[in-house]
Amino acid sequence: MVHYGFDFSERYKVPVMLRITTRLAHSRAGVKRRDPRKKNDLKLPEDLHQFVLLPAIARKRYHNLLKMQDLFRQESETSSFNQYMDGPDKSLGIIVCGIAYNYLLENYPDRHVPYPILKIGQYPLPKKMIERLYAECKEILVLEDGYPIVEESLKGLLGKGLKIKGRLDGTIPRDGELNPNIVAVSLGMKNTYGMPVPSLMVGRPPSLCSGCPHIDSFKALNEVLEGLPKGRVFSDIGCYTLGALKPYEAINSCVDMGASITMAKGAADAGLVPSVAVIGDSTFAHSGMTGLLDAVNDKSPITIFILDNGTTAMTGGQDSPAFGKIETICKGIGVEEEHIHVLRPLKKFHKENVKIIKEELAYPGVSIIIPRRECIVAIDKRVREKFKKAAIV
Amino acid sequence: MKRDIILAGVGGQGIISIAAIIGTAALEQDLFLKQSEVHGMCQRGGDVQSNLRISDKEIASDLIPYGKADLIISVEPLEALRYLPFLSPDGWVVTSTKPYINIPEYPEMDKVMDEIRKLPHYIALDADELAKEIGTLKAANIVTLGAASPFLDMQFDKLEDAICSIFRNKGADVVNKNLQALKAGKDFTERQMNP
Repeated sequence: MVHYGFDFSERYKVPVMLRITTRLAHSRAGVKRRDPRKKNDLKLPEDLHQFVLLPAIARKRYHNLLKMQDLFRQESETSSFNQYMDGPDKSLGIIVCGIAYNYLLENYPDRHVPYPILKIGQYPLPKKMIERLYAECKEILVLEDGYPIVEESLKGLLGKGLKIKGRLDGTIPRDGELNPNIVAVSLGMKNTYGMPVPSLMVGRPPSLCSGCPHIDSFKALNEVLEGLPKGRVFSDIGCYTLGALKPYEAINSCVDMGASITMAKGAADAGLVPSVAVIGDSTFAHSGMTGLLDAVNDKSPITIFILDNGTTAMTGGQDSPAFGKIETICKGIGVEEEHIHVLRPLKKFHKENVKIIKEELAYPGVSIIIPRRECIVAIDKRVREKFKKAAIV
Repeated sequence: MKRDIILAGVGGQGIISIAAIIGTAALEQDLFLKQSEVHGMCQRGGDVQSNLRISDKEIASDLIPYGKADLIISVEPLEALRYLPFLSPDGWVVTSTKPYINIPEYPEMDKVMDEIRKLPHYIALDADELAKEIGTLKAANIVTLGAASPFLDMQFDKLEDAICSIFRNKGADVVNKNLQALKAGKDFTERQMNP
């Protein structure tokens, strides 16, 4: 499909997107590899205005794109990724997309589905195929993972009349991941739910590792903020987002990368003081710096924690792009040197850390607190690699 | 031949290694394989679950339907119980009895074991203890895999080959310890089945 997508993109000079829903992104299987294709020669664009989206050019590009829609539709009607598979029982016609097709087949051990099936893998929707299914069947069932994209599109494509079953009429739950059981039940088959989960079962949410430096940072922050109404700590995405859960309950937001600083700034500008941002060293490098510049320019009264564990822990321990540069970056952006503090997040320094944080929360400008201690998983990995090397030598 | 397996445990307990070993062995035997990480495999300390399906025929769904799993392999006793709705009436549960207590409300261990003993088909072993005897606590996951090996409908030496290839980079000692762990688990189950 990816090969086809690249070819399609080259042929029509349009971007092609591969849409993979929940489960497909987390599945593996044995694959047969084909020979890699020779890399295309590097080529500069023939149309030098192609990527210059000035309004006048953008209007023209959009007009051309619209003109190509008929071609795309024709491609869809004949694409091998859109298949009409006839079946003898016309009481139901099934429109099925992507991984939902796997779930459908799972419910027929001999892999023979009695109903006509339209399997859709390429957009725009193949209108003629849909019209055929609509004309030949009494009801339509739409099976797709994630949002009901195809089901909603049918509304504009088909006239009123046949019942369309799917996420919108409640045949399939409106939200949540699709699975073979939901598909079975939607086809009138029985649910094969096995033994119930014993009543003693409890949830087990993910947690910070014992010995994690973030734990000490959160303990210090919590102590400083004790007594103040909660909801003033804006955070970001990383292991430290787990600080929102019990027992710490130290942070109150995780929206998008870098939003800790911009949200804290917005809150402070609106009058919330103290206002705190908590961001990891890698996230800071990725998208915290622009927000910091804005806060410095406006001298917003915020305290920013840059939790520096020396690695990108959550995604498996890649190097952090700001490694060894955080203070320099902050100074370069204009944070006053006396309001940049590096702390050692350890129990024995707790008191001292609390004191520094308290002072900086009281400062009516941008303060940076950098609790710095290596991720314990990263240490473990580093030490093991060192021993391995020693053993080889 | 078909084996639908649910792998369960707590993040960081080595479920990915179990999946990799069974998967490698399956592909070596030209079996079809689908593996799906159903729940937070990268989240330390949280419950994790992986679906592993192997078959000599093409596999349709990436997810195991309710009531169809032939085997639940769990490296932790409470986690073994979490996925019972997926177990087939003839299915086996192979679990380590060593609890991983990182939540304050972890149920009383006796009650957890009572629930396991209620199951029609189960193997429960203290994988940590057996791993310790071999000299590495880290191989507890492989002990559990060994205990499940008689239910995999797979040649034992294919699992051994997979361990050799997956742990090769970690040195001969690691490979040998893991081979011993696999054998120790297998021996435990064989003793249980043929006392």
